[in-house]
Amino acid sequence: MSAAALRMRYEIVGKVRFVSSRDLSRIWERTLRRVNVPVAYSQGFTPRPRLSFGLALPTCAASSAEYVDARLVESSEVRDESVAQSLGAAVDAALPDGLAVHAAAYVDASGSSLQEAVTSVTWELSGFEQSSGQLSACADEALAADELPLERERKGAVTVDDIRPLIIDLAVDATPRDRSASSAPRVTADIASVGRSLRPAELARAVFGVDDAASVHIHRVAQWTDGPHGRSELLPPPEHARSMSPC
Amino acid sequence: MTTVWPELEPILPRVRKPGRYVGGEDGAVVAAHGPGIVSWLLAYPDVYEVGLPNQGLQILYEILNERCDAGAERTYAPWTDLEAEMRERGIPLFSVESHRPAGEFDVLAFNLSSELVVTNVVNMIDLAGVPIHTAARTADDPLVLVGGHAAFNPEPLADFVDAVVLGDGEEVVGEITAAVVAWRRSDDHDRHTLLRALAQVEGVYVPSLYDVGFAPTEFDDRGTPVPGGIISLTPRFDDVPGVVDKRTVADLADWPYPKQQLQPLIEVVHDRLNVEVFRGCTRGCRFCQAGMITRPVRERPPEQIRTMVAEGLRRTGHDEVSLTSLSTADLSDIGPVLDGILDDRKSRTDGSTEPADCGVSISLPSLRVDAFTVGLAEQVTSGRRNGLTFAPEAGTWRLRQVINKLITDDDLEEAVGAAFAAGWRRLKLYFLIGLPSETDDDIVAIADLAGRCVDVGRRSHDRASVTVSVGGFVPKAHTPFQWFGQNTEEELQRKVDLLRRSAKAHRGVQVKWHDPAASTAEGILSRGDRRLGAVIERVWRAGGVFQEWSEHLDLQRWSDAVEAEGLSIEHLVYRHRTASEVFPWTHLSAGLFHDFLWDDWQAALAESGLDDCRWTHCYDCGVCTGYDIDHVVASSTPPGPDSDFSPDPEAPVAVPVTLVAAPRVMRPAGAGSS
Ligand code: SF4
Repeated sequence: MSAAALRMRYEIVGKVRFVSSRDLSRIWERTLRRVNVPVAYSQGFTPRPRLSFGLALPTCAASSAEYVDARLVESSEVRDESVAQSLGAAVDAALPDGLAVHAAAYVDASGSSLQEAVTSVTWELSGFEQSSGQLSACADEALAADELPLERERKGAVTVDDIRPLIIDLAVDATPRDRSASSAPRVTADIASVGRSLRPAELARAVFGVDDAASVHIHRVAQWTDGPHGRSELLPPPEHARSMSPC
Repeated sequence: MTTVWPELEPILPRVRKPGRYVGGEDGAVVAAHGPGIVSWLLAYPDVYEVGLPNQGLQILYEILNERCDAGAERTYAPWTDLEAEMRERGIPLFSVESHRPAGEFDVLAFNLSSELVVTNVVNMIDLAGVPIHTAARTADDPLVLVGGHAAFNPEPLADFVDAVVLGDGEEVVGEITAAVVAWRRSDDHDRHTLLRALAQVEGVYVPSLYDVGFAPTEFDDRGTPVPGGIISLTPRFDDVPGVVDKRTVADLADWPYPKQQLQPLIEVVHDRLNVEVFRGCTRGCRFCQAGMITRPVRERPPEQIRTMVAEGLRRTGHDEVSLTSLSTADLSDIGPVLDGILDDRKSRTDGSTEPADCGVSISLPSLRVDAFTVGLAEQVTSGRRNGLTFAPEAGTWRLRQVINKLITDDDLEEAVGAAFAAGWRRLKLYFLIGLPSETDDDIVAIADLAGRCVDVGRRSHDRASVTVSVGGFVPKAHTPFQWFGQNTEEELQRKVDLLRRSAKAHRGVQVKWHDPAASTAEGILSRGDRRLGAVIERVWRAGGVFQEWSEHLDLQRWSDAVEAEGLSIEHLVYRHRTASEVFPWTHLSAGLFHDFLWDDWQAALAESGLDDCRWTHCYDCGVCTGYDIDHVVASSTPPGPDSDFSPDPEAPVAVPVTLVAAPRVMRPAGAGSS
């Protein structure tokens, strides 16, 4: 049987989103060890569990579409949907507050990695000082432009990149996402994740003129992959996006 | 419930490591608040990553939260970037669990694990919105307490703290809680009444209830002021004890804490499970305050250690456990205890799939210097053998007798040889400089000793190396060396330079050193009296926080403040004390007789060592007899595979202890290298 990985789609909200991605991967390592998910380890002097996370989420951002692939040891155990579900539920119960598993499935570990599989990402930005009308004007202008040069630093050198090709779509919504007034107005941005990606803070600066990136709330709502029938999410969102554990 | 979270959340993206401020640890609880409940805010005056692992704080956290009349949350020093934002926006110090403002707790209790944190203590009291001076607080302000090792000379903090806890906190926190409850229930809401009641609790010292008399300042020939010493230390009321004694829990078996070690969301120092295997140490190293103030030795039963380790690893998902104590290789039956832990891990039936060799690693801090100990370290480390640290503390046998660290050069070379043969390639040797009776020969000898260790190592590996790490000695309260005048900053620097020059003659020897300026600042705070309150306040107002962080320490600030207050570093730190000196801590007791300490100081000057009373006879230092407690030790001999050590009850006190190091089977040179 070919090498398998357990892929989990998870949410990160609330206080835990202030930990760094390095700390987040340590939380995952410890949690999988506590639940005894049969994770494969790397070779060498200091073996580490083989986890991969795809495109890192900026620290302080929330997400309802994060993914982790845990490479599993070779085994003859049954690996069907219900086993994946129950493992996902066990992991969910062991995760700290603010982290919740929304879906779990076995995937072929020889297939493409998370990083390779994801072709576009949907972000939701809020906390702007501008009105929804002003934001819409900025969005329309950006979508109508042929190119959008953005100056950014890379290893100390300043480069100018055209970010227009990376912007698939921008939409402005005047209604709040949940009941918090701070989430209105909000911008939904579809961004291609090929080549050098465009970070949400860079988008806020380049398109909406936000200099103080820390004032924008960032929420990743979907990660997409291209398939024969158009794009789809890596794992479908649960119908009622709540944690998988019974309580 | 009040919380500052809504104000804090938007500024977290602007500060470094925001994960420091969000709590969320596994094992954390949100404390209950209410009329019948005393709410404690346990504070560690350094950043979260440094403070979170502190075991003393975690133990009290659990004990308080198990009580029905108390609750506890935690807070740590915000880093300077967040502090600036908090001050700008008027956000007070908060707990990490519920982000409740610190000023809303009934007790603000600081763990003082070192002296240099005092300006952070003042800063945190101020950030809490509480008056920094005890005299200015009202019945509505929290009670400000300090405890921990550095609280054994709390006098520099006398202006700022309401009460000080000396010794083990497990029992006394309950008694303090009860005193606060009783005070609240009474009609008398005068803060002074509460302080008087606290002074009745054994182990609690209330500085404001004592008058300290100083001799007048005199002037030397050049007109420089020479501050007067202490001439009297008197309780201001009849019911206040003349001497405050420390608290000691008799048996660790009754206190299997922490039961739920906090598992933080972010990486912290010592990121592993910690299990305290014994408390106290009677090796009698004369420079070691921790050993002197924590007597006698109280071992945890081996079965309890094994359960705490197995449970803790299972619960936290850690793959490393540290067995903590002041000298873990001294635990009776250390060998079987380690075997048991490794067996439990191997025989897990929980379906774990980790590779066998990364199942668990056990770290043994504070290794004793002998080959037996190296064998233990070899048994418990898996994977790469990175570094091993020994602490001979002094370069010559003569000086090691002075400090009562009775390791011969042969012991050390044997231990080092065993370590290199077992596969380690890099050793660290820790030494103190500025010790009593030290000469330049003793300094040069450090380099020579390290050089010989490298020679021994090169029999196993061509690239064996030794790092010598030196720290300036600060004479501490309640030790036989409390009468000794600390070396000046210049003298310590001269010795560091001498050592560096001497080490150049030896290949494979590197030297690292602790900044002598930091030792001087530590000396001021370790040795000072309550006149230092004004000095601390000046340094704090000048921005001197996080003084344990070299990038933040500026000795000039301290010397300026000392001078501005009419004091002198010479008087506070550098001068030798006479037999009749009244120390700032003379009215505080760690149980050690004055005569024992003085005689041991004289024995030190006579270069004469002293046995470990746990394995030989009691020389009546005062602790067990005075407090009616005993060593709790499972074995009457030091651990070792075939120890032929036999204590001789008639042996003269001055006979040095030589620990028998079992000859280990040495691997041929080169084995273990790959
Ligand atoms: S009283 Fe005796 S046995 Fe107890 S610590 Fe002191 S010397 Fe050791």
